[in-house]
Amino acid sequence: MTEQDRYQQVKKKAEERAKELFKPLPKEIEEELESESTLGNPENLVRPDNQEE
Amino acid sequence: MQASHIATISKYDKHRAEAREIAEASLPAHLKGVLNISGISHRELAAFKCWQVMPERKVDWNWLFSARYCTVYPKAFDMSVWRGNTLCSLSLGRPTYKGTEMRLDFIERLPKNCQYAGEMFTISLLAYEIYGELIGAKKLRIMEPLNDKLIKYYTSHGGFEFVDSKKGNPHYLVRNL
Repeated sequence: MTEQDRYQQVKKKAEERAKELFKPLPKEIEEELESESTLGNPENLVRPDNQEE
Repeated sequence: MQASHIATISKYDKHRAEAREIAEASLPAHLKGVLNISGISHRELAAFKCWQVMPERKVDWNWLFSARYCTVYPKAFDMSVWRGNTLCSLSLGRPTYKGTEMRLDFIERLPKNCQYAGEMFTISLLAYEIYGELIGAKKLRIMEPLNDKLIKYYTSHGGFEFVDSKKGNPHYLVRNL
């Protein structure tokens, strides 16, 4: 598979995935996402890699 | 810096740009042409300074760190979302050591008056999944999703599994790509 083929394949998959992801959310979840201004933990950016993963 | 390290940065710069481009093109109609996806560079870091003085800001994380991040971790992914001249969100993550899973480590959005606030996470998730696909990762991880409601929702509706913390590793949600 060429890089261009790979790009097109990923693009097509992304279009389908976007349809799933951007479906209307339950009100409760929508409110949670609107109220949270951060997700995840910045500490993980500086923690060393687990070399077994 | 070794030539091989520079070559890796360059190779993954291409994937980073492609992932942002595909994510932007895949946005739903109400966001397409309204929001722009970019990396984190001088422009984003300059805009971030406005966030630092907002009392609504919940973390004290300095995004200036991100300028070095993709040099230290050449396979990392950095992303910003803009609406016109307003910086809406910033995010950073990197693949696991063996490169089999892509991690979304941290997202922060404009602390106050962020239009489309509820969609910033979804946009980032889409872009990180795309980047994971482009670099050949098999899974996408959302590291330390602190909110229990969100964990419950994404495990029951989003195809994610919850992996508890162990051996000093934090908990995360994981999904096959």
